[in-house]
Amino acid sequence: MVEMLIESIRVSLMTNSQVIILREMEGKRRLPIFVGKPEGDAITLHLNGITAPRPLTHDLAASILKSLEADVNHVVINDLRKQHFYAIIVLQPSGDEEAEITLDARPSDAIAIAVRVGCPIFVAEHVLEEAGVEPVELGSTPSKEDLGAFSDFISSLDLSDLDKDK
Amino acid sequence: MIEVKVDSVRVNLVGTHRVVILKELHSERYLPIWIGQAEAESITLQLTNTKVPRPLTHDLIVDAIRALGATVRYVLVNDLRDETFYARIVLRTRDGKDLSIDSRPSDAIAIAVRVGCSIYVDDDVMAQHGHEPEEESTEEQQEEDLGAFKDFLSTLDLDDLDKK
Repeated sequence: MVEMLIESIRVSLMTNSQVIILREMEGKRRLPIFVGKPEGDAITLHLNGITAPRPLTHDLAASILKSLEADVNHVVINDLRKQHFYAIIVLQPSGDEEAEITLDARPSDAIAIAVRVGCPIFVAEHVLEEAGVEPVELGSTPSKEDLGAFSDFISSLDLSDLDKDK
Repeated sequence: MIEVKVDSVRVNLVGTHRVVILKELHSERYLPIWIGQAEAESITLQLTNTKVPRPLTHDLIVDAIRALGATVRYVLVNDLRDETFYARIVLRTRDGKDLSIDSRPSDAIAIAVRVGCSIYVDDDVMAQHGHEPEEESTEEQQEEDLGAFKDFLSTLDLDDLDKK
């Protein structure tokens, strides 16, 4: 299991969905996860320290867990099947160090609850290997090969056409 | 406390808000409550028995309550202040202790329809904000109501119809 931080939440301008970018705590890999708008909003609001006048659904979830004296130990994004991420929320009922309760959850719900209770967010190594992305180093000079598509495009332009439209 | 059931969830075509209509169980009194789109969908999916591939947030909450050995006794819409409805979810813990948890009515109802517990509305809230449908009108009244249409019809010159 690899511990992750929430690096950013991005909004797709084309659809209602949002993308949560998790970053490896001690590494460079990122894991982008598409989430629904209400769950994305629930995470963003909390991270920005905004308290809604009335409890949001994830605030309710956290308050129910607290009232029932269950600590959220951690959450894990533990699988990826058919392009769907799976997650679990691991609870520890108070007064019972041994007992652990595992709840099946969507990653968005698991993360929205994790940020509220302040527990760690993990990703299973095999999930990170499959779906993690490493950022391309900035500052390195692109090779001629990388720029090939642009050269091809530029050489296909007929610049003498430019004035004809006017 | 007045027991109610979910009568319908209605869509406002110009906004993202939805209305859940609660109906008094033994009377024709209705309480409309504005709720968010996500919560409305969650209530509707459950009431139409639609299976979702992954647990929704309210499914997760119900799973957590059950896994911790607690049950939901009932939910109660208990107040309305500054145009906002308030609700409580009453849980019974494994040890038989009752806990009352602050909630929005939408979340409380989404949980109630999943566990099949009773939904109540506070007497005062229902008395002040419940609606009763208008009485069936008599034939005489109906004629009167239709007067405007009759007036309109008599102003029409049907001979004009063919001219176009």
